[in-house]
Amino acid sequence: MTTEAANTGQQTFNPLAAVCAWLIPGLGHWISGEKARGGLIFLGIAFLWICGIFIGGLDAVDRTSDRLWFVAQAGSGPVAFAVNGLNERVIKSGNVGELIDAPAMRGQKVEKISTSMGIARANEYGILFTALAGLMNMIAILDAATRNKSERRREGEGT
Amino acid sequence: MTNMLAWIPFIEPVPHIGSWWPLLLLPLSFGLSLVFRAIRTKDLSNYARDVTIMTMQIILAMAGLGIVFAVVVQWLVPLLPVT
Repeated sequence: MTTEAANTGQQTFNPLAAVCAWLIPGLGHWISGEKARGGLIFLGIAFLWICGIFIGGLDAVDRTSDRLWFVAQAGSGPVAFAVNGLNERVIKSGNVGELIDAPAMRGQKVEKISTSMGIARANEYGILFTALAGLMNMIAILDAATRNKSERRREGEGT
Repeated sequence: MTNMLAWIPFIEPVPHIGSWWPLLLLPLSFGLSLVFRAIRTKDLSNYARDVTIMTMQIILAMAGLGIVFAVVVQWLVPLLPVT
């Protein structure tokens, strides 16, 4: 941010804060000096993720079956890719639960699915919680990247 | 109940969610409020109050929408003439 931009309160884009906010939710605000705000953002995103995985299990994050939802989940950063990897190694590989034949139409190839995969409401809510965590983190990323210094200073005086 | 004994939390989905899934709106709206108010609240000393207010607003709005849709589906739609 230029000195002139800082003085006038003009918004500029801070790519470092955006990348940090994607890597670890809240880190973008943290490195900008708003540690309390960054911590609260991290707690909120973590809360949504913990609830989502608790309700939907690891199968709530599936890059191949729920591709569009995964785009939203990936807004939370590497955690979405990590959970997707765990889903493939633990659930889809049959390490937990049992692999059974999925119902298939006549002439279609029969696929194996795990008895531990999420279905119906549990799966829907698991996906919803984690996808909303990703979308909320995208708002946090934009906020961390575009928040100007004068605004930060004003908030710092209030806390 | 026997299914609960075989359940592995955080790996397998919660069993028997069928009847109480509307209650999941509570943690969902609370989580959304936690993040949104952390971003938007100017003075963080008001954070807890703002989170509580926003959580209640979401729950009341969703309950209101539920009542409106219930009235439409249960009472208004049956009044439509059948051809």
